[in-house]
Amino acid sequence: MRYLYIALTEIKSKLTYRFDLGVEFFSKLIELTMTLAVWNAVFSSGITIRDYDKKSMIAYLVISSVLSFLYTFEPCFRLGKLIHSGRLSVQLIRPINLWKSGLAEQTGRKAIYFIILFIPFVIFAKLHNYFVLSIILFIVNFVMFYSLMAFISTVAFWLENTWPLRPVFSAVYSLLGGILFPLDILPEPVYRILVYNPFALVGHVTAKTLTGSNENIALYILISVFYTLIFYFLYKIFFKAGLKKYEGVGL
Amino acid sequence: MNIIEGENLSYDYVSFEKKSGFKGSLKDLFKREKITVNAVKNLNFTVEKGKIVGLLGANGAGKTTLIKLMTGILTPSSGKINCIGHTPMFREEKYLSRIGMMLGQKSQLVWDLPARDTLELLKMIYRINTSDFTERLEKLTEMLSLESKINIPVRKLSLGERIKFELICSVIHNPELLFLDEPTIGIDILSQNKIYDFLLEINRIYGTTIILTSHNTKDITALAKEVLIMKNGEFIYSGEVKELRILTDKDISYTLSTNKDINPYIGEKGKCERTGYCRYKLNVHSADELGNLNFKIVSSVQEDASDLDYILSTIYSGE
Repeated sequence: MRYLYIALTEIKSKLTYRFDLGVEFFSKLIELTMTLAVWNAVFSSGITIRDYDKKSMIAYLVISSVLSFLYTFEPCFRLGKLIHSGRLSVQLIRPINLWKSGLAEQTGRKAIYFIILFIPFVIFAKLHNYFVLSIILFIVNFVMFYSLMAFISTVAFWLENTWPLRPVFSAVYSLLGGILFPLDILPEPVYRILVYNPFALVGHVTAKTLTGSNENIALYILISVFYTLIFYFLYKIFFKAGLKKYEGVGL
Repeated sequence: MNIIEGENLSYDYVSFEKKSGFKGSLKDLFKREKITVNAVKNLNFTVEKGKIVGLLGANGAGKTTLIKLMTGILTPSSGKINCIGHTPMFREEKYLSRIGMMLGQKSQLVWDLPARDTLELLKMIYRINTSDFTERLEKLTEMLSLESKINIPVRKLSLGERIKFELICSVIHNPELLFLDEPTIGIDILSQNKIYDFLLEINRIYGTTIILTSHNTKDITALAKEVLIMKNGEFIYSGEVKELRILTDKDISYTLSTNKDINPYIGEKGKCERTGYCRYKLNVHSADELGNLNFKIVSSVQEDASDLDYILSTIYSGE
């Protein structure tokens, strides 16, 4: 219940800045328009790439772009901000689990996007046979991606600034997650390896699932759960080790 | 009954010594000189339940480290510490629910929302039942005159109002042990007095034990009867504030207000001078001399904080 309230507080904070929400939507729209323009030019000669014609490529890119609203890197920088502002001390003396409160915050932060953007896709996903599995995959992926970001965030105990990592993450997510192009247009052996990386699970795999062209959903859910556990335990180990470094900063 | 017990408590950490100049910076890139800092050294101390204790010391004396050890943020390098029957380093939920901490410069308020939202969040975090919460919130906001400010976004509040709400946040769950770091930093005298009254009241009503660190000696004279003074990670004084003067052999100064413009001091050992209408300054060697005041005409006695400033600076500098 208390973590639900943390999420609710985050929703309230997010709603305070309506203009920021609008700007975020607008910048994503520009990003998507540019990607679509590039692919529109590629398909202007009437070719098909692997199994993609112009229509299916646009559907894929719109969905993967929408997904990138939900899978963002804020949790990766949360710990760094807390450490450098000294507010980690405030969090540490509260009787709450920092990992869970971070997940609740991220859920709250993304709740509005989830409602505005995801409901039409849920309705769309209902059209195919894997509705429940698709929803489970989406939820598990959300937690898995948060776990990955939370684990990476622990480098803040050793690094002075974590923000230079942001462009690196964006590039990795866009390429390995299949945001710029579907991963299955790559050569088969490369695709077989890339499709199981955490970024592909939240990007390419989820987009394919929501368009109804994925049949191994249960397997992907299992892999995602496996990743979640790994990242969670790594977070615990690194957080504990990092906390020992958290000494010199004044209260 | 002791609420805090420290036994041979030490905390060390490894730091680096930075070489000066460009050449030094280049050398540092490849090899750094490690140094072990003994932030807290072999401390033995106790704090009694219901007391207000001032934790004093110059910058870098080890006060912050000691508070971090007591709140479980840090794990001791050696020795033991026990607070309310718990070992803080385990950060058990039960222990964390029984303590409160206010850091004057680190806000726990949600910046974009009214203070009520943060307090409602804390209600959930500390599992406070609704009737207790409503009653306590009403009482606390009334004590600090904040009733009309509770629904205003935090970012629009003045510094003093924010500090007062920070205080409410740290006591809303009625902690048995409260840690305060610079509770009056940057706020005006009127608000400072409100905060003193508030802290004395919660100490009196709920028996809250308060550990207070501040560089504002007025905080100490107004609130604490006992102090722990630290220097280089060690205690150099532990005892009552009034006994501190013995260390420096300095007179105590009091500002007296009277309801008649007549010198209220009838003793012979001290010196009492008129400083204004119905205001006198009394200099005595011992607090016992206060017994020689004519309390029929004395309306208030305020110990002079600047005296403590002098005493502390003498102690810190080791003169």
